[in-house]
Amino acid sequence: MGMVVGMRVRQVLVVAGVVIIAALSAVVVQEAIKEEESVLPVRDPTVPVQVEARGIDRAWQFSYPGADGILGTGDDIVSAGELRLPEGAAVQIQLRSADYIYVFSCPGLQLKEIAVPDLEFALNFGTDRAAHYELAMDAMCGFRLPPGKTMGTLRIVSESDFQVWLEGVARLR
Amino acid sequence: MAEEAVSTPALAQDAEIKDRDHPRVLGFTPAFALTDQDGMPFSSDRLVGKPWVANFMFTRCPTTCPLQTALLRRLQDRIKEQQNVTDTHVVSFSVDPGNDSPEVLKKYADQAGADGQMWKFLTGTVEEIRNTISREGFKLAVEIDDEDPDAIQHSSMFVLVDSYQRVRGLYQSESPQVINELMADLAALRAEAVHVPADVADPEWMKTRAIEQKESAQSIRAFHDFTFSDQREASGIRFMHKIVDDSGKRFKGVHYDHGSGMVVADVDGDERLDVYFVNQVGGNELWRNLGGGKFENITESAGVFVSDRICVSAAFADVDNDGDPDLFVTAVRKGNLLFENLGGGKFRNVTAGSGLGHKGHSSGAVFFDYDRDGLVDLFVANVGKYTTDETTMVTMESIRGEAETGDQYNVGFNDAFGGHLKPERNEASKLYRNLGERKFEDVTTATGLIDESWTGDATPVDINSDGWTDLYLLSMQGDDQVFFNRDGKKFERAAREFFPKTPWGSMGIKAFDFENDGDLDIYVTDMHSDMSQHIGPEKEKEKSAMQWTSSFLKTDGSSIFGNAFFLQGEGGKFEEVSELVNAENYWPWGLSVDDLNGDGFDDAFVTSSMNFPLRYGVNSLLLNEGGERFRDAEFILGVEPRVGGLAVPWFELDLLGADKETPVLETIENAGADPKTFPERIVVWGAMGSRSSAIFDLDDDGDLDIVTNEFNHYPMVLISNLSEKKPDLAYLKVKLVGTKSNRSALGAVVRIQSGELKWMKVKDGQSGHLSHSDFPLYFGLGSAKQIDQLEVTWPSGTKQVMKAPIALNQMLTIEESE
Repeated sequence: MGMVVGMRVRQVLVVAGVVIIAALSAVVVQEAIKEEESVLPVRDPTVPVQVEARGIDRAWQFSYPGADGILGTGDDIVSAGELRLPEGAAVQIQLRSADYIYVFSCPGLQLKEIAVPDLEFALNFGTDRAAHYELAMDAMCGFRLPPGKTMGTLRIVSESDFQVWLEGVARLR
Repeated sequence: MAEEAVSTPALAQDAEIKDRDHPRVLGFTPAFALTDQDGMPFSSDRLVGKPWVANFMFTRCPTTCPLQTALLRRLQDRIKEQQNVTDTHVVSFSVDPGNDSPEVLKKYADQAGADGQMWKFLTGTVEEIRNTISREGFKLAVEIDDEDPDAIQHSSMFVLVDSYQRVRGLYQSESPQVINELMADLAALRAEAVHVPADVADPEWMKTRAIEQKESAQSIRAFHDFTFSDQREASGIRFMHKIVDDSGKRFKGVHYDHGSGMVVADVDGDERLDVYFVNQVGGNELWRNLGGGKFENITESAGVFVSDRICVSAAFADVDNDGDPDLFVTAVRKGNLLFENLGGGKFRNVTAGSGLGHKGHSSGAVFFDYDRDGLVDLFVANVGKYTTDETTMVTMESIRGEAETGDQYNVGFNDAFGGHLKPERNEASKLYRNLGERKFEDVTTATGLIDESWTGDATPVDINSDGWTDLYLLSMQGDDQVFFNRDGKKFERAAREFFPKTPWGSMGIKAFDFENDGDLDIYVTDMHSDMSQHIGPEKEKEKSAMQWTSSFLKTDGSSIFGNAFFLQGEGGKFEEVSELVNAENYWPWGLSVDDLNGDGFDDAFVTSSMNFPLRYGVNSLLLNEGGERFRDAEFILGVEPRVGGLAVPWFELDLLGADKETPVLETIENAGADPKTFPERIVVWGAMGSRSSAIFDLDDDGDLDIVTNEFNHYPMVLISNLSEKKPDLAYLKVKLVGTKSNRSALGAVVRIQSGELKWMKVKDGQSGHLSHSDFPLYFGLGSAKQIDQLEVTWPSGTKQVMKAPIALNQMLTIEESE
């Protein structure tokens, strides 16, 4: 029993320690975030990552929800040419275009869909492990890229790296 | 006249001239068609893409001419001393054409030490020379007097011309520095030109393909011991197709790049077939056939000049049954046009009140008598809204050697190629019923011919052999549509049992009897599917490996990605056999079909190529090998490579001025150029490409010739020498004159029998992309020595049979019996 009690005490101590460390960490993180004036909410991993891929001026522009957590508002976080996603996540990409017809094409993930002005198309998929892919260019009636050039990159990173990257992009804004 | 006979102060000074101002554009050179010292035709378009120096002289000239000639000899030698400079010409225009025959000029040129390839001495008629030098030409003084050489007066200026045929400098030939100045300015002009990518101008694969195809000739059973040669210069045809900037310096993927058609008919009743070329910019032109392969421009006098709108297609047919072909023209947004032929090649615009002046995005137009009432009706294919309401000036003129037109055109949507995804951009095609007296009624809805697909052209064809002409509609972005004609009253969209799969990006069509088995087969060309992937030349004979998503295609597995050849078999069933019969090619537009080698089997000529910013695509000439398969023969028969090179200057950019931020720079970079190397002004070249064609006996020698309409260039006039190479050529031309039926006899079926040999043709007017002509049927008769029977089934239902003897090698006119 005493042993049991002792175990419980140790467990409590461990749990308390974890809580304290976590609390301290949270304080540290919060302080750090405060320092950087970031207000991005912590992502709920059960909710798909929402991204808008917008073709504009013959390039991709990727938008993520900003502090309000809603995509398509004024505080979206915008990345030009690089799409970064957390590993092991469900992803929903809304494809739009401001001018021409684009093809979002990632051969490495066997993803392909079009973006057309005034129309909406979507891609739903899940990410696996950390990886790096190129976004290809499909010929679309005269629009093509020179050899060796791509339309951008798609990086799958850890959840924490994703958050840090998103914070960084937001701060750059 | 020889160089050593003249002392020139300029020769003593060969020092480089520095710090000269960059040569400005001073004006434009005239188009001319003259004769060189070798007696060969030489026209201004030979000089497109090349800087050149002109002077004006005559061999009897006792004063300034010897000096000029000596100076130009010096210029010639200095140019030739430079390495990698092979494109510069010197052109001396004789101002004494009465005396300066080619022979006289030849002797003079030889004495002057002229390099015959580089230095041309030109002569012509007095009128031609006068027009070239003064008036609308170089605008320099000239007095020509055949009788008195002392009375001849001419400018002693040297004229520097750039690769776009613009005047860039005038030089006093007496100046001691004149040659050095010319050399310096020539160097400045050369520095303007951007390097043309090798895969556009001089691709290696063309050479390889030519060799391989010629090596294959011995295995081709179809007769191929004859050739075509481009005689456009000798024909006198000066028409030039010109494009809007959406296909040039404002490049975008928009349907303007489909180009324009060309149509053929005997407009003046002289039994010779005349040609009407359709244009985007600068005006359509009607060229009258003078015989012997010569043409004259009668556009203005005929009253068919159209320059205020971007025109797309044309169709000839006798709308009012008065014995001459009338003309219908389609245009983008500014209204389609109907011209009544008044006889003798005179037309008047009768669009107002005709009911045919639809303003939209009209494309191909076909006449046919759907209700068999004896009047030709009209189907007009409307593509869909591919242009915005924004208008802009046509600026292409400035680089093609002519003045600005001041015309405006509607700029295309940036996403025009996705128009089929947006129902609000659909534009229904139209069926018009002919009411007589050149009045038409829109019966699209009344007949149920509701088609909002992106239709660019169509062919009338009796698909179900019930005697009523159906319509096969070509959708350029989606499924083709077939409408069955129900007793001339209604059209009913066919289920897909006849054609379960059709080409996704259809452009051209021809229904004809491929095997001579008495029924019609259907050949459909598909260009748009070839745009999903830029492939190497080695894969051109393969079907497209479609790269676009199903969300873009929107056809749910009902598409063929490439050309289709529907062979009609037992029970009227069609089987798609394009790969089996070798009907595939790359970037095809439309096709013309007829018996080019006179062996009794119809061959095909498929116009192809996409022009700027892509590489060259060959036109396909497919010889029908006994109704079994096509054999590639464009190189064997001299159709490829085309005369004058595969690329031409496409547009010019002022990179420090108006074009500083132009998006087309990215397009050029993507095509392989490096903008970092661009000078202040660059000249961008584009690959050539044909759009439309007509096959007919242009010079009345019994064999079939080919005329094209190009995209942004002069036509090709491909004259066949078959009648010389095949002395036993047997053929019959059949001109049909309807009486109860429509006078053009559209829809009439002619069957010919000679022993076991049989032929069948339908008069449908179809020849080439966006083109509907009115010309006689041509039957190559192979080994036949006589015709046993000829049967005409008229649209009225009347059958008319003629028995032997029917002479071969003639034009047989058959009037419908009462």
